[in-house]
Amino acid sequence: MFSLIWLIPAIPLAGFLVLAVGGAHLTRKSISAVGVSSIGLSASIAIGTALQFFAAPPAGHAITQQLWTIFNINGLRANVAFHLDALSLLMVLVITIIGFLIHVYSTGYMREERDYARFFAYMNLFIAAMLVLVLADNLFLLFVGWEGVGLCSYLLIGFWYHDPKNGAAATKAFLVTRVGDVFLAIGIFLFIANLGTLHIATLSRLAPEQWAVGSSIAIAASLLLLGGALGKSGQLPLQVWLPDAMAGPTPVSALIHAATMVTAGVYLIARMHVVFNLAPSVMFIVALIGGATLLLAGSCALVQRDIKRALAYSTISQIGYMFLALGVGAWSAAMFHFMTHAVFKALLFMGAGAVIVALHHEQDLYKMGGLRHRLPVVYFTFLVGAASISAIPLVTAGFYSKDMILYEVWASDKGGALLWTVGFIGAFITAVYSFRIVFLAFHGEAKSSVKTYIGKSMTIPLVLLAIAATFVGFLEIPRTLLHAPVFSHFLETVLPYPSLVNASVSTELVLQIASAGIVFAGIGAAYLVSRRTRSGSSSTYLPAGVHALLLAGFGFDWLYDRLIVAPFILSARANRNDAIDFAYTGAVQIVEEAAYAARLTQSGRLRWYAAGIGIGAVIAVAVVVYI
Amino acid sequence: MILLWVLLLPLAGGLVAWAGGKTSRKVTVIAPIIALALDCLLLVWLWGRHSGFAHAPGSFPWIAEFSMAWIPQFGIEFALAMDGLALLMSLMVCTVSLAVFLVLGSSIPKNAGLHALLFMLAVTSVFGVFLSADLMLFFIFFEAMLLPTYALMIGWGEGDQSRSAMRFFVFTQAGGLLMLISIIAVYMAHATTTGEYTFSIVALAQNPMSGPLSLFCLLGFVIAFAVKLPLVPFHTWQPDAYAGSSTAVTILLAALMTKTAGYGLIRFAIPLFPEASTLLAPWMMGIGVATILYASWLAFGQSDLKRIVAYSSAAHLGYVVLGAFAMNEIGHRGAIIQMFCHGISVTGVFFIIDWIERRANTRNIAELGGLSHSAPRMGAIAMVFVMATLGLPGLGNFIGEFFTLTGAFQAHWLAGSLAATGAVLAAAYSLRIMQQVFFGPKRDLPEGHEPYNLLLPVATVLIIILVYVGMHPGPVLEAANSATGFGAIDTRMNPTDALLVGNVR
Repeated sequence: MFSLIWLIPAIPLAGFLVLAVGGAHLTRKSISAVGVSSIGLSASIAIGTALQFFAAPPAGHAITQQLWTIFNINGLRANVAFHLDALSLLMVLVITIIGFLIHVYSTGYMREERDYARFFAYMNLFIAAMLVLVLADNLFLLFVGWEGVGLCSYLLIGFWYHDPKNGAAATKAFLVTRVGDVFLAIGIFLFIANLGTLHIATLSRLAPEQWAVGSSIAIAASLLLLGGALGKSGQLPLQVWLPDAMAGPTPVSALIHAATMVTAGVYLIARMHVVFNLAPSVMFIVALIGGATLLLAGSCALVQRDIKRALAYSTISQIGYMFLALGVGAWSAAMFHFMTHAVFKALLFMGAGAVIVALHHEQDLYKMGGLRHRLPVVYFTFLVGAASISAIPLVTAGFYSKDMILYEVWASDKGGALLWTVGFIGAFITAVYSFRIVFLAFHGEAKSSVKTYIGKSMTIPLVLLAIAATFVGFLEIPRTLLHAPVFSHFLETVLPYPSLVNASVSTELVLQIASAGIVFAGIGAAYLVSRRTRSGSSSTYLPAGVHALLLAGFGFDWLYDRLIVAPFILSARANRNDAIDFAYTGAVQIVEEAAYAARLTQSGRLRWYAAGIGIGAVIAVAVVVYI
Repeated sequence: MILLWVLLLPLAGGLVAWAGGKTSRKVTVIAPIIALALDCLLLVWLWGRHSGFAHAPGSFPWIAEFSMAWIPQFGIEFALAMDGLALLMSLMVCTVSLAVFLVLGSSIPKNAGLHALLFMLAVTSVFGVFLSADLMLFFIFFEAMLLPTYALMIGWGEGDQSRSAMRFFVFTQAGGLLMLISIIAVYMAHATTTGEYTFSIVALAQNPMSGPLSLFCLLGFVIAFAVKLPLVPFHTWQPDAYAGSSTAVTILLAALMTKTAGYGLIRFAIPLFPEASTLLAPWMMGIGVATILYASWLAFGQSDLKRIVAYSSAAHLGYVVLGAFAMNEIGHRGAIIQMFCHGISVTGVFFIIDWIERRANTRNIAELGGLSHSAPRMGAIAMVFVMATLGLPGLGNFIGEFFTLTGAFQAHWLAGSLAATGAVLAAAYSLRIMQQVFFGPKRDLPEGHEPYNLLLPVATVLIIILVYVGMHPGPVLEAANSATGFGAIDTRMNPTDALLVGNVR
């Protein structure tokens, strides 16, 4: 099975090529067949590979398949080579399986779309690029995938290109993430210049040998990597593109802007954790950014009216949890939350998509209501998703991943009570905004006409994901319950355990009880909040100023528009005739004027000429004599 | 002899087109196409015959040579020679010229025979620049490009073409004059030290000049190339010239002639003055960075598509200077790949602009929009070329930018880092093109469908070349390798002076 690794990204790529070249000549049925089966095949190979990986792990718990050399200049080499270890296997499984379900769902969601082939072509290309990103054995190939998913994100956000607003959102997403990409690129140049290699495993071996802990070179390298991660993963201060990215079709939001691409930054940091370990100060920054982002974005999610925007802020906030975990060295906890989040957030987005379809493309939460009777399947699956993201104890996957993070943040030598408090408050906020959506959309009175038929292609993925959102948590059961840390055990060949200092069982139990309490408090608050906003004429439960601030995402867009975007556009427009050219046109003018002036001396009067000759002779003689 | 064929085939095609063009319109297209296709085959055959490009360090690894006495009194030879670099550049020029005649050949509005002749004269001169092994011969070809180009701009241009053609002529002529002075100085200096009067590049590079005079001589070369490339602040002739020319001539200027300057830097300026080049390198890298950032910024402020691409083109050639003067091997290879891929991609971009102009009767992006509704395939192809322009990994242009930036970073971390921010600016002006021209609501355009003719297949071939170089640049790199084994180039991968900060255990 290991010899088939290359097919995992190659089949979706082939699907893209077929749909891009021949899409115009294919029927809808065959387009769906190509688009969905390519991901299905890829997922089957991934599952087969995983089974073999579990049954008979390769030597060193990693295997590399090399296809061809991209370049080799005096030993600086980049191959098209796929590196499969526990970490990339996890990513591959999540990408292909959830990707497959979202593709199936898309055949229903995009049923009436004119550009059906183009949609599936882009989706297939995205899966291929994302798989290249996670399987790359060197930073060059990783960057190819990294930019490839950025391109697909751009193309899919702007999928409905007739509306300039979608195009603007797509462009914004591309440009903001590209700011991060520049940092990542410079980071790659730094690795080349200082370690002379692009190969990730070699880098991870050389960096600790050559760089001291806390050395400025290690700090620079990890800061640059972090810059790239912040852009892709929508963390402060580069989070502004993600809420706007909801302009794309909902399956895109589920696949790219919730489950997979936006967690590429988390993957990058986990993959390069050896470098981050050399820079404790940067680790602390990662934790701080994660904590700040989870609080900020979480509060923004509390007031959004657009259901997809609320979920987008929720995504930013949940990735904040992952960064918080990464920052304290809880690598496995971050990856565990990545996996559960991929499941329940894809579920929530797809549920939201079903609601949007049923309401004839209505996305305003305040115009929804009472859908639980009309759309029972969607309601129950969405409820499972909301329970999971809110981390309702014992029965949801989100509980296990979030509690793993909170406990390790508390206990890690790099964490502590302060960072834990941030995550704890975040847990409350998460429960409030999630159940606010549930209560507003599904409870109360029905407000608009509903198309109650949701096709099987959409409901089956919802049900499957709802089951997963309940059960994947059991992969890592804490010692307060049964103690079955399967997940972190699986990843230990790649990611080390955090060094814990306050690690008693009783502490863990107290923390779990505390966060269980806060979740139920949050759900209660959500009930009150949604009842008040629904019944009253006011659309808010917060002071107007706070509400406006949260609705506007703390004004980052406003600030960037004034500080960066507007000055750039205005100055470029003002200088469109190129100030440097004035130097040349000016010089031409001076020559012309001088020629005109010189022409005046040609007066035709003999005494002026005689005087000129005389003065010239005197000057010439003086020059000869004195110089 | 092969090199003479390579050089003269395009000229022959042009002459046939001119002679036959008086009676038949078809000949003006078919004769150049046949000549260029044969030339391409010849070059591919040369490449195939010389896989490996092995050479001793410090020597020029010629894979083919031709020489003939010309003006022996002054030591001027009609000497042609080709190495991997010249081969790459010639192949690019040949492919692009062939593409021009395939796509645009039948749409030349008047005097198609004369147009073909002048175009082929210019192409021959460009080949001459790449193949010259004699400095004076190089200079003659370098200057000979101007006359047919000037005639093409005047005769087939648009708008205020006499002004833009005059600016083009004066700027490049002034640069050429400085280079001529430098060439004569090099010649005299070499004669005084060795007693041998020769313009042979091999002889001159074996005894490179040093001392303060060499710095002035290098400046003469560099300014001539800086005008033609162009670099900030010598760039201002370029947008007018691009906008005022027909598409074929714009491609001649942007894709082909600019490469003679980049080629001159790598083949002549740096090897002839290794010491002065090292001295000048930081300044040239600074100018390269300034060109990348300033030209990208200007590109964003334009509304004429051709002017946007003119500035973007200048920005991309800033990477060539950055890589060439990084004075290390990876930077040099990057510069060469960047030249190769820029030639291919900018040709595709100008084909698309030409199609847009014929379809919508305007190049002003404010008056355009929604073209993807009626021409989705065109939109897809434009997207690929726009992605090449903004340096998307997987396409050849990225390899060029990645290597030049890597080289620049090794030379000085700040140069590489600042230049890397150009990627954001490039994305800004490139995506603006897609947004304003192809996306957005459908607009009412003049009736009628503009036929693609051969545009789609030719653009597809160009895309395949870009993807191939982007994912498998090995053969191209190997050819480029033969140009970098001499002179002041640091071939170490890890020069220790490139370390960002001390702190190493």
